[in-house]
Amino acid sequence: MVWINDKFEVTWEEGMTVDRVREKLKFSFRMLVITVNGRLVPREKWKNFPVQDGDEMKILHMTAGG
Amino acid sequence: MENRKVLHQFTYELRPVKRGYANRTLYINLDNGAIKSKPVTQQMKAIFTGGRGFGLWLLWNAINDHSKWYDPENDLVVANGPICGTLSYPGTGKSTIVTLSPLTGSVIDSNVGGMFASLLKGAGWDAMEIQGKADREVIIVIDGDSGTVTIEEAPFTETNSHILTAKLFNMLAKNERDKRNISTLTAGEAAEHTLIGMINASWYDVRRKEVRLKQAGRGGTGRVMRDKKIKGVVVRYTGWNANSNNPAKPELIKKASQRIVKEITDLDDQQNQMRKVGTAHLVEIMDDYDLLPVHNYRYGSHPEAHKLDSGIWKSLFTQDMVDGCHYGCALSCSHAVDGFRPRTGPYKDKIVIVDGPEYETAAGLGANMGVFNPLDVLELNFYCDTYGIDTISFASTTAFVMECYEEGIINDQITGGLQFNWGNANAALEALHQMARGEGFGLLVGLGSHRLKTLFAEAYGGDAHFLNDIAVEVKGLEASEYMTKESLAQQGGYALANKGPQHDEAWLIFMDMVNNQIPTFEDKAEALHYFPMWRTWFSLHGLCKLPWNDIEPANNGETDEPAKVPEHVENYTWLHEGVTGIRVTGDDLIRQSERVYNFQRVFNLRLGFGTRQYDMPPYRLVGPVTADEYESRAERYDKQLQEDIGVNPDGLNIAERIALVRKYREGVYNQLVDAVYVRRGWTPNGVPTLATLKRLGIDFPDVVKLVAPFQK
Ligand code: SF4
Repeated sequence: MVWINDKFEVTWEEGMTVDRVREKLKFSFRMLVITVNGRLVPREKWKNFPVQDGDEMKILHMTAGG
Repeated sequence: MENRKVLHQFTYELRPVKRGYANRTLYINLDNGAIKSKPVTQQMKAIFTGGRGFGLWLLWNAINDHSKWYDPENDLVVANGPICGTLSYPGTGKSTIVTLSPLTGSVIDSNVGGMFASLLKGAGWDAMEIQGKADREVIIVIDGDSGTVTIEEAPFTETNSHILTAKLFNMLAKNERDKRNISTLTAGEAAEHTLIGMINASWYDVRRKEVRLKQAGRGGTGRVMRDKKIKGVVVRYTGWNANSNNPAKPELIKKASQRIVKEITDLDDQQNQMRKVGTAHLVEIMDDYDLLPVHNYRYGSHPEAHKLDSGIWKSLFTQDMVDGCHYGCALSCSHAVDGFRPRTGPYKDKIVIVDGPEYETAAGLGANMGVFNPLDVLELNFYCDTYGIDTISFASTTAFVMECYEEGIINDQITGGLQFNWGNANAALEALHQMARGEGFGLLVGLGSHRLKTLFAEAYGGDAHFLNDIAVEVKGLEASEYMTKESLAQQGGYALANKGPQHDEAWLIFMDMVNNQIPTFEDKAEALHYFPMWRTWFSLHGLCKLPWNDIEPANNGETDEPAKVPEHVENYTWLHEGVTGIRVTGDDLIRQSERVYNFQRVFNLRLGFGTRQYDMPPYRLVGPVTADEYESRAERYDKQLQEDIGVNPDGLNIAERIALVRKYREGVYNQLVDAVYVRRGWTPNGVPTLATLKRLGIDFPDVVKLVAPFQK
């Protein structure tokens, strides 16, 4: 299991990446700041950055929107 | 002046703007033709800053405690603000319109882009207020080149905005190029007959060589304008430029402007693509997050929503145009569809420009009404604009009517044969045309949801309780287009808003529901203090808030409080000091807003509102009203039953589950309200305490007298 924002969970799968977690949560908003276990993952690495079973992620949507 | 019949004329001394202020406001009385200049005092600037603050203060002094929107003493105020017109910084051209609202009965503020605000300041005025009612159709012309203000007999029979605006520009402009120096306010035929009328402000689009329109949509300002028999207001001023504010420290403005323009150039394409699609990029995002209102806010997504996504709008909007609604705006998000041919109504088969749609319009006229053909959305958008109708109130009211029709509360006999099934754009279009003609069921729709829910219960036997739950309005104003069921903070953002549920006061859904950054009541209350104050600040200065948070510095996420966009707050402190010469911190900016915000709350109280009972949302904004809604998110609600309420849903039927969830959600909403009132320095009944008013310096004798009985 991968935990996101202390609120959402995604079932871990083999070869999981940051982008795959986003896709599973339908987090399509573009202005995101993402950390995995507290470590910032730059946007250009989302596609391939590996996510392990049990990882804690923050996916912060950078807007107060609307 | 040939063909122009001047009824009243006023001449005034031309003088430059100083540090962002013209230092006077223009007063016009249509009852007797009086026109005069009023000084802006130091106290007005210190307490009310400008923009919405000035509007509220002028209105406060113009009316009495019993005034209604249709009384002659009601003021229609249009104000700019000290930073307004700083052309090098994006988004500095907002007018704020303040008046008594036909929809809410209380005070409304509604902002609009275009060039009116800047040119009004250039012409020598920090605000314009219009009292009284003309005895015939008139236009008002403010000529900041010659120093004259005239009330004239309306020179044209047309009222609809896209035609009237073009005619007014042609009448006033010396040549094509001169049109840059002109802006107008107009409404439309439907604004005359409905309570949801709005005002269009214009600018001349130099690339298209056409006039364009932006809308002050909320609260029925257009109805007030037409009730005063004003067809149009024109302002002209030649040569407004980046230095016309005579700023105190131009170098600070330059520093802020260079920083934001570079940011937009470098990052907009990878962020929100405001320059390509504008706010309409949000349609598919809201759908993905279950936040797009569908079928009168029942659901948050729809399988056909992709038909309204950003790709569609990108292909319809004319690209490679710098589409700013205010000269110099680098974010330039005011897109348009050129060469559109309506298929219905008086402009059928004529070629027109459709300004927009913005997100709210696409979501409201689209998904919320169940309309998924973008061409239908465009046609509704066009007619709302030219007829002077607020797209948000129209969409939300029509969605409510559709639900009532689908539920059998109203039928063809009542609607005059219009079949308001979900998605029937033809019925919605015909209702709009009826509003313009002043006839038929459209006139009822034009009353707005608040009045309709009572009418449907009393005249047609609808279940008043159910109607109350599904009419998505608070304080008489229809909600804008976001789903709030899963965000407690945003329920407060909507229902606690001074003017009614409009997202320009607070939008906390991502912080709350997705990021989980404000989990406790106190966290939410803090957000419901800071953000409404921060967002109010834009309206004090004549600013557009999109350059604050629809583009962000690359490192914003690494800052302590990314939701506040600290670098942009710093830009605004530089702009403030740059224009006015007064050095400020971010906290000072919040204090400017607190004064005006609390004064507006007291203003509501003066008009018979402004207490806790007016801060309650309809249940549709809070949780599932119907079994369908419950079942569409059963997993979420069942989980809440189990985890938050401590009840096992197995063995309970849907009605029992709905009732338990409702009791719980209404309870936590009230706990949130308690926390917010404490944070804002208000009593448990939602009235600012005397200590709060004193701290803010707005403890004027009449204010103290008004709030004193509510202090317990
Ligand atoms: S950001 Fe968009 S709406 Fe705001 S001033 Fe610029 S063009 Fe107008």
